[in-house]
Parts: sequence; structure tokens; C-alpha cells
Amino acid sequence: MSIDLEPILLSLKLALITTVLLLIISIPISSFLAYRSFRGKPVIETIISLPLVLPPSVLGFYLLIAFSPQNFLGEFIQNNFGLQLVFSFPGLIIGSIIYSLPFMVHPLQAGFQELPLQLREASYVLGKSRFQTLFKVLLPNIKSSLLTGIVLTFAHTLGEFGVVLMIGGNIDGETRVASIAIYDAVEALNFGVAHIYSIILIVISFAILLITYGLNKKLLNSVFRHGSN
Amino acid sequence: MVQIEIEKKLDMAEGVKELSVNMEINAGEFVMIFGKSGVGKTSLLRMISGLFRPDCGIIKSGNETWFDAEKKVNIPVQKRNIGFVFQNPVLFPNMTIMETLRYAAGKNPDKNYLRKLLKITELHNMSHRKPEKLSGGQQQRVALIRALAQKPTLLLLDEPFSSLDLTMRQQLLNELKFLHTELHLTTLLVSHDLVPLIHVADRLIEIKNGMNKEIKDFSEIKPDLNTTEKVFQGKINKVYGSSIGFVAEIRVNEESLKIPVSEKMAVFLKEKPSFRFSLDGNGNIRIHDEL
Repeated sequence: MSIDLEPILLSLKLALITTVLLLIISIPISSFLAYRSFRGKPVIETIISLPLVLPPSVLGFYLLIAFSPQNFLGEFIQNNFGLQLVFSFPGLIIGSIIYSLPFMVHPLQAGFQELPLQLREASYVLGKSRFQTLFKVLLPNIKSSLLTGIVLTFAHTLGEFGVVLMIGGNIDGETRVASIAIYDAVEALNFGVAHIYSIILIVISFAILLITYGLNKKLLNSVFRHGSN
Repeated sequence: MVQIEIEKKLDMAEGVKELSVNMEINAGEFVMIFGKSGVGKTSLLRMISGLFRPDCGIIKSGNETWFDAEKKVNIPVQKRNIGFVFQNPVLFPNMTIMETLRYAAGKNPDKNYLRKLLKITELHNMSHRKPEKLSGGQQQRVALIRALAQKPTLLLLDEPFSSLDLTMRQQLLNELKFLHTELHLTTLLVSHDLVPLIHVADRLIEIKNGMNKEIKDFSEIKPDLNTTEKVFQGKINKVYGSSIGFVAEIRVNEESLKIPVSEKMAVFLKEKPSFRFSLDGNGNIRIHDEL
């Protein structure tokens, strides 16, 4: 029995790209939410958290409609960027970004909020801009939140099913990620293949989480050791 | 010269308060502002630094206008070239002392100057350490030289040493005074506690009922001094001459205290290894044992 590893690689590729893009997007969003208070902030926070509670099929359904070339957004993107978002890998990336947004924003926002307020001011009075302060002072001091956000997003995207199925379908090499391939194999009563994909996913997820806990413990330990001196 | 003429409605725990401050600080002066907790001392410093916006008035430093409500001028905190020492050290946990100084000094740091700051505060042997490996006193020293690294035109200190014990506070104040003189700083220090500070300031300004008032005669506030004067049991570590005169290094419990002394006192202390002493309002040492 030869096993096609393409779905596993596709899942990893999707998770990696989604995580990198989400990290870039979430840093400004989460620092903004952590430090600013404004009218309508609860609405923004609710929208970001929505994927936590909504069934992925609901999100996928509306993304499918939005991305469809028959509708304004899908048509606009297709005409201007030559990009078809429905049943394509780029569409999966956008869907995953929206779906995993809270998994990156929440840990980062909490990390920023836990830092002493005056840490930023201490940098500002030294003449440092917001940008310099963010990269030299704030981000280096929320490493463990960054790690949490990265791992949660990666693992969550890896395990994505509903959104992918709705907007991506099941196209070999394009949108058939591991979770879809497992579903496909089970439907075809091909349990052997399903087992192999499932076990690979379990091993990858286990390894990622184990490394994270190990690293975070190391981070904690280093703080503890210094603190007890 | 820094000219401050501002008004601000402050939202305090006890309700809204009006703060109206009108003062001038000359270049090279060490001015101390004192007043009870909650009179708006911290808010005043934050307004001078640009972290907080006054309702109206002007703030000028030399020819530069930092704030002018009518002309809608409000130079951001980053552009005011101010040194600010907060009540807590708020050091950057990710940076060693040296990295903190380099970050603070910005591009083209004056390395000799940074070395001098480290030397004066005796942090030069631990400049590779991060804040978590420093004692409270050392942390506040780092906060102090971090504020000085960019050669600020004005140094603001908000109750900088209040979290430290009296001995350490006294020593840091002496170091601050030394830095102030040595580096020709213009310094504004805020405190609710007058006693340990009075000898370092050139001028005293009290904030009371939302206004500032110059204290011309130090004896106006003298009565407080005796009540809080504390007697320490000390042991002489060493007495030595330095560029600022004679210095006695006295061990009090776990802390080591350096106090400038007269020649006569230096000779006396050399012969008397253990004694009881207190510091008077002018920072002078007073021996309580019989001579």
C-alpha cells in the first residue's frame, strides 16, 4: 500500500503560511486592543472571538458565498488580482486566517496587558517611537505569549476541517488537506489510509505541544532561577 | 530655563481637583517639589514630560515651546529630551544594564559618558546583568542612569527612592546629588516625604490646595525633621579620601552606606569602629556615642 503524503504536506504548508501571516496581522491588532480604549471596542473583540463559538460550517458557508465569483468580493478579487478564492489554496489561507484569528490575538493581547503599563512610557521618555518600543521592549518581553499564539494557531489550523471542506472542497494537491483526506478515506471504507493519516497527525500534534510545554517550562524556570537569587 | 504655567482638572479618588502650577526652573538647579499624596505631583511631572496633557497653559524649555494650549502646540514626549525616573524602576526585563544604556543613548552613544555613569553608580562590574539579578537599590540606580544616558535637558524624578529603605535612599540621594553637580543637570524631584531630601535641593516648592508655593525658609518645615530622625547602629568599613573629599563607608545591617564627612569626622571614625549615628536634615552625620 503506497501512501500519498501530499495531504499531510498540504496541511503543514497551510498551517505554516497561516501562522506566519496571522502573526504579522495580530501584533498590531492585539497591541491596539490591549492599550486603547474606544467606543465599539467590545464589538471588535466579539467579532475576533466569534470563530471560537461558531460552527466552522457557518463561517465556511458565508466565506463560500463571499468568495464566489458571482458575488462582489469574489468578483473583485478575481478581476483585480486574478485570484479565485473558492476551491483554491489561497482561499483556504484566507479562511484559516479568519478562523484562527482569536487563537493568535488572545494570547498576544493578554501578554501585552500583563506587562507593566509604565514599561511603554519608560521607552517613550527615552525618545523611542511606538514602533521601536514594540519591537525592542514589548515583544521581547512577551515571548511566552508569542509562543503560545504561534503553537495554538499552527495546531488549530492543522486540525481544521469544517471551513476547509466548505470553501476548499476536496481537490487533490490544492485543497485536500489531511483532515479532509481522512474523511475521504473513511467514506471510501479505506480504514488503513485513514489510520495512517490520523496517526501522523496525532504524532505531529503531540510533538508540537510537547516541545511547547518544554520550552515554556524552560522560560518559566529561567525566570524562577533568577528570581530566587 | 524651564517655564511651567499650566492648569489641569484632575480626576482623583476624592473627586475632581483643580491643579494650577506656575513655576520656573533655572538651568543647573535642583528643585524639589513636595506635597501630600494625591495633590497632583505625579500628574505635574507627567505633564512636563508630555505623557499627560494639561488643559491649558504653556510649558517652555529655553527657546523651545513644549506645550502651548492656545497655539495648539504639544511636542510629543519622545521629542522633549527628558530623563524620567518613575517611582518603580520599570527596567526592561529583556535587557542587561549595558543593553539598557545603549538603547537609551540611541545612535552614536558617548561610550565614555556611559562608562562614567556606570562607574559613579558602581554598576560597572555587573553591566552584563539583567534586572532580575539586581537588588532594589541597584535597579533604581539603573533607572537613574538610564534616564541620564541620553543627556537630558531636564531630569524628572517621581518619588524615585521611596520603595527603598532609609539607608539606601540616603545613599542614592547622595549619588544623585553628585551626578547632578558633576553632569550639570537640571533636576526636578517630587516627593511626599521631605526629611531625607532637604539637604540635596537648591529650592523647595510645596504643592498645596492645587497651587504651588515656594518655601524660602527651610525652618518652616523643620519641626518634622526631629520626629522622623532615625538612629542607626553602624560599623565602619573604611574611611578614605576621594575627589569629593573624605568618605566614610559605614555598614548598617546588610547595607553599606557611603557618606561624605569632614576631615575631623574622618579621623574620629577611623578610631571608632562601632557606633550609633543618625543623619540630620542636611545629610550630615551625627554621632550619638560619647566622644
